[in-house]
Amino acid sequence: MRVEKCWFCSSSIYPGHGITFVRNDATVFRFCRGKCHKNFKMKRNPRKVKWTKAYRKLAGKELAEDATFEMEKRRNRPEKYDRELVGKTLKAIEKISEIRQKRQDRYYEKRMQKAKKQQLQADKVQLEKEVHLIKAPAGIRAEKEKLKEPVRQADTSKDAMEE
Amino acid sequence: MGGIGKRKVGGDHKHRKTFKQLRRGQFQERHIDQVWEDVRKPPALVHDGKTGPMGTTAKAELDEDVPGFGKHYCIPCGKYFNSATALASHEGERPHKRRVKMLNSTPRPHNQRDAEAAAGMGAADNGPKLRSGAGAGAAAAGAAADMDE
Repeated sequence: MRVEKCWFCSSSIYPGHGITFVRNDATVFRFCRGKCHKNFKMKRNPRKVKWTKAYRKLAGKELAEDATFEMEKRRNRPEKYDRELVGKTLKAIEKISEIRQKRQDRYYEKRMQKAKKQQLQADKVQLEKEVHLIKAPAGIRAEKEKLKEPVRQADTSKDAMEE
Repeated sequence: MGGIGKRKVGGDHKHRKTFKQLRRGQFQERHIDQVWEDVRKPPALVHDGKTGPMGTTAKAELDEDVPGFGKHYCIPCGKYFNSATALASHEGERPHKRRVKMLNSTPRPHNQRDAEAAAGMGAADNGPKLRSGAGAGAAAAGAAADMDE
């Protein structure tokens, strides 16, 4: 049994699922569901479609390069059955997926820290530019004048002192 | 060429294709990854002025089903033309130039290997070499070529 990957979205395809297209130059395209197949028929580029793995990895949304990704691969020469090896492999799979999950979580947190700062900055700019949405222009004008008044008074008092 | 979304105003309603026909037609043109490779091959390997594009099963010496019996072929656009002059004038056109520029400046289009890499899979493992000597050397060279792709 071989679990294939979808050409478009890179999800796993289990036996009996999805659709396979073989082009007349013998290239095999596998799709996990109709959505991916349709997108392929429309000649969409998976690197430009935001919900695919290819996009997310290229855009830096997900951890792309890591040693834990080297474990799963297409093995074209099957291993001879060995009970001990199976036990070891199963243990290793568990351990490696745990490590990978942790690394992915860490990557996500790091990305979100940056995003938080950016969001705060954007919010500040928006508040400055679009105050009129929460306060009427007349109210803003009145407030500005209120701010100006004490300054004028201070100026006049200074003048008086000099005289 | 009338693509999807580009509708000629007035005129040929008899010859206008349905959305489905148009989309199928566009799908059956040579795909971008094939053309990307064609552009990088020596032109004689792709099209020798006699047959359909190489790497397909269409290999008639003179193909009646394509314009100009398949003699005049534009590799970057994957199109046949009726005459050498038509091909030459096509090569002076902006869409052709734009496509050539795009093909030469973009990296290799998405393929199954990219899809697998994005899914978190490593390079294929073909196991240790089984044969030694000249045969193994050839096999290793083949494997190396696979890796390069």
